[in-house]
Amino acid sequence: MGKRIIKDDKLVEDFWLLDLDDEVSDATADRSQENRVISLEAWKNNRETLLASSGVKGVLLGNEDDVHELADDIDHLDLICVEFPAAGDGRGYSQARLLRERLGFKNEIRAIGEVLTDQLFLMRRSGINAFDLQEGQDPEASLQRLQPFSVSYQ
Amino acid sequence: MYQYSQEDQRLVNERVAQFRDQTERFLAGDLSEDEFRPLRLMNGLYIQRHAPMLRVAVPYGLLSSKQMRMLAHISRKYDRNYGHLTTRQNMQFNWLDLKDVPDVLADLATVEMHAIQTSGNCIRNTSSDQLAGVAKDELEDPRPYCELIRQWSTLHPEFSFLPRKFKIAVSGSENDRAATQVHDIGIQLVEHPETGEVGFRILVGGGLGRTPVIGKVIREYLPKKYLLSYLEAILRIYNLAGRRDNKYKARIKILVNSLGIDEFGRQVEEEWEHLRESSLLIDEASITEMQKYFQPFSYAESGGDSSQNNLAEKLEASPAFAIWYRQNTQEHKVSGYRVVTISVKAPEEAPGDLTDTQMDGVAQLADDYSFSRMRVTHEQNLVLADVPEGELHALWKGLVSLDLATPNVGTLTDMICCPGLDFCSLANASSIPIAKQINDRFDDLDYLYDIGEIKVKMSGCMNACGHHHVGHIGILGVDKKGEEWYQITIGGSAEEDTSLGKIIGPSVAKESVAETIATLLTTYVDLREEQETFLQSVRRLGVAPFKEAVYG
Repeated sequence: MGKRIIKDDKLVEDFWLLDLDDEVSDATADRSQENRVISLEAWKNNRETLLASSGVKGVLLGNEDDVHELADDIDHLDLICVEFPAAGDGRGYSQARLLRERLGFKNEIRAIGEVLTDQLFLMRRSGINAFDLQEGQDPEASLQRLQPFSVSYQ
Repeated sequence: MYQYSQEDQRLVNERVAQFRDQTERFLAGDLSEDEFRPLRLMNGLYIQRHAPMLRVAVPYGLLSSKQMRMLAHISRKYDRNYGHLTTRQNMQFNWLDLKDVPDVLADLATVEMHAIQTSGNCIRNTSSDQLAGVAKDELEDPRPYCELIRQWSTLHPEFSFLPRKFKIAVSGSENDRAATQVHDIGIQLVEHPETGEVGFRILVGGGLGRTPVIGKVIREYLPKKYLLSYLEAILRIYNLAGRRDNKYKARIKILVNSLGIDEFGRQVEEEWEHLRESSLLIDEASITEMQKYFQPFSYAESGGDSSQNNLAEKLEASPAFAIWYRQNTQEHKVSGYRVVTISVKAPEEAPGDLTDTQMDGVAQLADDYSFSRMRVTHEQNLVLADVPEGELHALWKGLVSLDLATPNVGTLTDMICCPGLDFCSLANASSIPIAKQINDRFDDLDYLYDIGEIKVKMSGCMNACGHHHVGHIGILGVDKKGEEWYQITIGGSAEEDTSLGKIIGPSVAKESVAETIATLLTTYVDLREEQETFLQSVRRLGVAPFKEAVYG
């Protein structure tokens, strides 16, 4: 059974596989069954092949990656993972907003890494709609705390 | 003064509920220490030497008497009957119980107050000129813009986990009383050189701390409507590119210096091109609406007629009142009114500390004589900004009975002082005992008046909460093999002529601080030219004669 994540304010089973090997040696193989999320670097290195494949496409944006590198490919992606290596590292919030507002990305943006219950509302408001909680975080408790505020200034 | 809308109130109430939930989960063991730390910091709660310290936001320093009474109540009910004014115009309480903090926040919410973003790596309380709205040299009241910034920055989803804390100050006057040049972003209201239209000059990358830097102009003129979009562009570039590998190199000043102001400015402008016409655009109507909250009071016609009040007689009759009047009051833009600075620097008290009785007392005096409003200054005093001349004597008597009439505003003993080793877990050395030492050594007011305007600023560690870099005399506590020593700088300023002080030599022993200052002052008195202030003398003469006098 796959891992459960929060997506669109519900607990769902995840079907993606994270693959962080930059080389993607078998990138030319048929990936349509794999549902793999690969790094931006691997995406760029194998872009042509991947765009031609019929499978779903997921990219992991590292903390230092420039969102704009995905500008031309944005309509072909099904999932973009935004990384929070530490809960206090807030670069992912800007990346998510840029993906939504600048690049117009409509599909899943998922927070991975140190994703904690009490930060989900900020992530959610930045355009992140899926949360792969850090181990030990209670998914039910997190669901209850997705919207602690009914008003906002932004 | 800004009044909460229903939405504002709801947000603050919901913040209380959220924090109550977080605190309960922590106390129940469901949240670890590491998980709880950033959550409490986002709400101004530090764990200090003795107990949790809660910093309450006082937006741009403005308080109503009702709010001041609530602060008094909180100090009485949950703390040890006093509070401490900070250099960000806030008030902090040092002796709370963690379990009480949600109740404290709930009490604060009943008077439109909170502790949101008073610590943590987020946008902090926007500070401003304590004379906003009453200063003669003011182009425009800066507070409507402070409030717009407060709202925009409150629980901003994108900027709640910046590389480091972020401080913004706004000044509406050419004479800068808000220290805008030593803020992460400094905003100065200016007139367009050709059209005369009022807009903003934006500075970026100033700051004190371990690496003091004077802010650089990133934009000479920004039309008002773009204020928030421009701030958002700066914050976004910083959030994405600011260093996160070393907390001492994480402030925006380090990024600005490493990229250079031109390149940083280019990146901001490029980002801003995308944002400028977005929903962040502030229309004229919103500005007018916000300005309505900060309109001048209906000043009495008779206030302007000095024959209608007996100020001159009272000044004549009471030398003590006259000295206080000269030292602690200043001109108001409306004749017949004065701006009163309440010195929270009584010689025997810790600088910036107010007891519950004093808080209640000041609230009453504000009700009686100053339209029920008061301001906290970044120099850790209070201001009653709108006092009719005819009421000054009665006000003074009230302040005397509260022990808040020390006529030392602007003098040596009107020091900025951080809590230091006595309270703060970051400090290397104590500050409050040094303030006491200075007060004991310089207890002759006539001598202080002869020395004239001088700003002494003291920090108990490199983090520079006491702004020592920009003191005319700066005092920095350092730890030398477990002993407290003090490094002295001279020639700093936080005003429109901002400069960073220069170190006079090796740090001095704890017991020698006041004596060292005495030597600096004697040197000044010997060498000063007519009418020259201490700062002017230091600028003319350089450090050498002072160094020579201290170290021989």
